[in-house]
Amino acid sequence: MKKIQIDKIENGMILSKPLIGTGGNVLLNEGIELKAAMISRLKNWGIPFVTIQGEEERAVEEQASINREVQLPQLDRIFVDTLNHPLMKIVYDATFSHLQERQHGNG
Amino acid sequence: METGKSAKDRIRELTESVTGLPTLPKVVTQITQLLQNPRTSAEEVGRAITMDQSLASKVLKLVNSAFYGFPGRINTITHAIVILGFNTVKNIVLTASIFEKLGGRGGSQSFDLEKFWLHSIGTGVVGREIARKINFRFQEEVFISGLLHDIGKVIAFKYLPEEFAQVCQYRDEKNCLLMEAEKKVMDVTHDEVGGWLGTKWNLPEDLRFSILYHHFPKQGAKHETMVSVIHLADIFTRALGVGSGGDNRIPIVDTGVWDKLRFSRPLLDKIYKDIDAELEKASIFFQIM
Repeated sequence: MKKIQIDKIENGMILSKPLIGTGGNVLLNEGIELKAAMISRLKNWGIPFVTIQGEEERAVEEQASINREVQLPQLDRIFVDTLNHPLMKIVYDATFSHLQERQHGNG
Repeated sequence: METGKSAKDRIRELTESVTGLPTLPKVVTQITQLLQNPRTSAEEVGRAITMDQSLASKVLKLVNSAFYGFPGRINTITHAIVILGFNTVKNIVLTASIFEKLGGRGGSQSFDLEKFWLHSIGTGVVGREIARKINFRFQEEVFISGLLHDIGKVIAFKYLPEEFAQVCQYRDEKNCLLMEAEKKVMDVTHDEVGGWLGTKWNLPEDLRFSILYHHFPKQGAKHETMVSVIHLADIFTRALGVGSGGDNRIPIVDTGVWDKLRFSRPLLDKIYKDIDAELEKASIFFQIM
């Protein structure tokens, strides 16, 4: 992601962030390819700079999802020295059932 | 104690060495001020937010995510305010600002920032779910509290890298909670460090208390419910294995909190029932980081 001045934009560069006007409107969405006509319009609007995509962009865009890493065996390790506490036992049991159900749910 | 210096000295030195802490963007203070005036219009707040383009685009991404319930339908900040209300938008701006200042992946071999943020977001989501199920009305505040409860760890990691590396080493050697290692090595723990940041950032009191007392919820005073929810959310998030706050252990739940909030196995089952879907929605926070 690079922030560049409006007069440095080249034809074909791609916006990596939506461009927002002073009124709070989205003027252009991210992912838009900037063509010559658009660039001159941006200049007319008085936009000082825009943020465009660099090469490293794609990799970062890759969606990290909130993946749950704990599998059932790990649960025992997490709770290793707390299970003799009655409330922790309840938390353990509830979590165990939940993870088990999820495993079945996912096939 | 082994260092020959009193805890107080160590804490003072630490406080002094973190004076270079990041500041929140001006817009957060501006909005807080604007919202104190009942005649402030949505347009005025919208204009203040859009002065900061990068922040504004993050706010728009968040308001259009499934997490806030209006996916893909809000085009302007002003529109967001009309639909979601001033308070929600203020909270979203605060959230986006925190990510802008302290978010980011990477980290070190012994402290994984991505896992850290996963744990923080997870605690926010689980906390919000607890709040819903026990009818605690400050659900958004709970979410931000969860997001921030361990922020002192990031501060220590980023601003006191040598000390924090020693903390991690101690944790690995003794296989203990990160907090125990912090106390032993730095003589100060992440909750206190986070509290300093909270003061510096002038965060609302309930938020500051959640950071300071999530391990000692009885000290939450008038914010005891908020602090208690975060205390439990932290523990459940660890149990579920969402990310990692820096260790793979789990602290013991506070019995007083459990009783006071009338926790039980059925209530926990109810909270867990919707939690996977809620965590899924929160993946948007990784996209703005």
